[in-house]
Amino acid sequence: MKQASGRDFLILFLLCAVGVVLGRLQSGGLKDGRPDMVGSTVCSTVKPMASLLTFVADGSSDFFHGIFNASNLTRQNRDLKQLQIIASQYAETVDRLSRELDSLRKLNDLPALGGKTKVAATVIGYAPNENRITISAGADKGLRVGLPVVTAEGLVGIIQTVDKAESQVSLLADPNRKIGALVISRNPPPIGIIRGENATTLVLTLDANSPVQNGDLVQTSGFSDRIPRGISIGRVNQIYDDPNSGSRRVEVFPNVSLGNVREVLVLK
Amino acid sequence: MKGYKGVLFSAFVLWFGAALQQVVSPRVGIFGANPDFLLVFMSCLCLWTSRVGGGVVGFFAGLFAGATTGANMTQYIFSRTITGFLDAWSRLFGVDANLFVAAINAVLVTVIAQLVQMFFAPPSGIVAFLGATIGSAMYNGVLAVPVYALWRRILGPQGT
Repeated sequence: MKQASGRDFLILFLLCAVGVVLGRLQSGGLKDGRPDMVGSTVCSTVKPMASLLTFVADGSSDFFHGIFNASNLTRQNRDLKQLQIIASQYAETVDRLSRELDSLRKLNDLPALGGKTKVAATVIGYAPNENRITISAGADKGLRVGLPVVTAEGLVGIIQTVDKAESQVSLLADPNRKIGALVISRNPPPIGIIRGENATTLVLTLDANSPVQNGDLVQTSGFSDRIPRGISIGRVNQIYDDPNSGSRRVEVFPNVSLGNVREVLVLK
Repeated sequence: MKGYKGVLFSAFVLWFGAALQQVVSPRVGIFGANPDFLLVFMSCLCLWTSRVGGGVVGFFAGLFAGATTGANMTQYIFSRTITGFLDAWSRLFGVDANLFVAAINAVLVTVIAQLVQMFFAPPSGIVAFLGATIGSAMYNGVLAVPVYALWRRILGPQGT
């Protein structure tokens, strides 16, 4: 009996030791920007069932939403068609202005602003406690670590690891994720670093004298080779002054409702 | 639950639980509380397993949880393995499993697993984490009732 008990505790110890080894392998992979082999294998075994469940869950959700909001959906569809016409005209204007800007930069011997290619992906996993989503595009579509993931509303997060056919995205809400941001509503726009606090609050740290008001729009600063300037992040919600550090803590409400994101674009 | 049938059944429910956890759990939150299907299935499986079996079930529940969320596996594997081992060990107290015991068991397993995990990887907001844990524990307790009722029909009474 005593021998059996000792054997049980030995097995428990061994299982925990294997856990430590797997954790080390995974951490090493994350540092190098690649997923670990064990995690990828487990994910690929779960993926078929997860895809099936996603299909069923999305289908039922859309079906019941369609039934209960039929008239609303018809009106929205009409409005969207109008918006599509306006947007197509807007896109032509943007293209023309972009060409003009590039030609002006060329006149001043500056390199042209490189356009970003958009890669569409679907959200196939959401881990709210880990501030992370999994998207259905990876190295096979040319994705790399550090690329921004966006929706029409604004920035969702940054790619953290890239697998062959899927990638892990660290959300804006991640407290360890820091991004350069500016308050575009002010002229000149105050610039600072934004990080996550929780799903509904981001914290932008600015200089104490920065002019900023509730409702101001916050965008990416673009001081990075991967994250372009001008991607919307959110709007200023609360402002606190910290006299000790001489900084201004600005709470920002994110534009993107992180729990409801289904389709995203990666800017590469 | 013994032999290859038990192993196959455990492997299937943990695999299915991982898919449910990845897809369904974020969609069925109530007042900010989301169920943890892997912990529900683990707690119910431990009603049929030995101590070592509970540890192994917990190990794979942690492996699936860590891999699918992309989070550090060590904290998940540690917390789930220790909790599974202790949960299966608690059968020695001689409490016969029934629907009520299954629900209480799921609540306790959730709380203990999350507390052990909190010990290994302290979250940034402990109050929010504890609130989410309590909500999740209640949710899991409710889910454990139909899960246990179904498995009892499939596997037979506890200890078989």
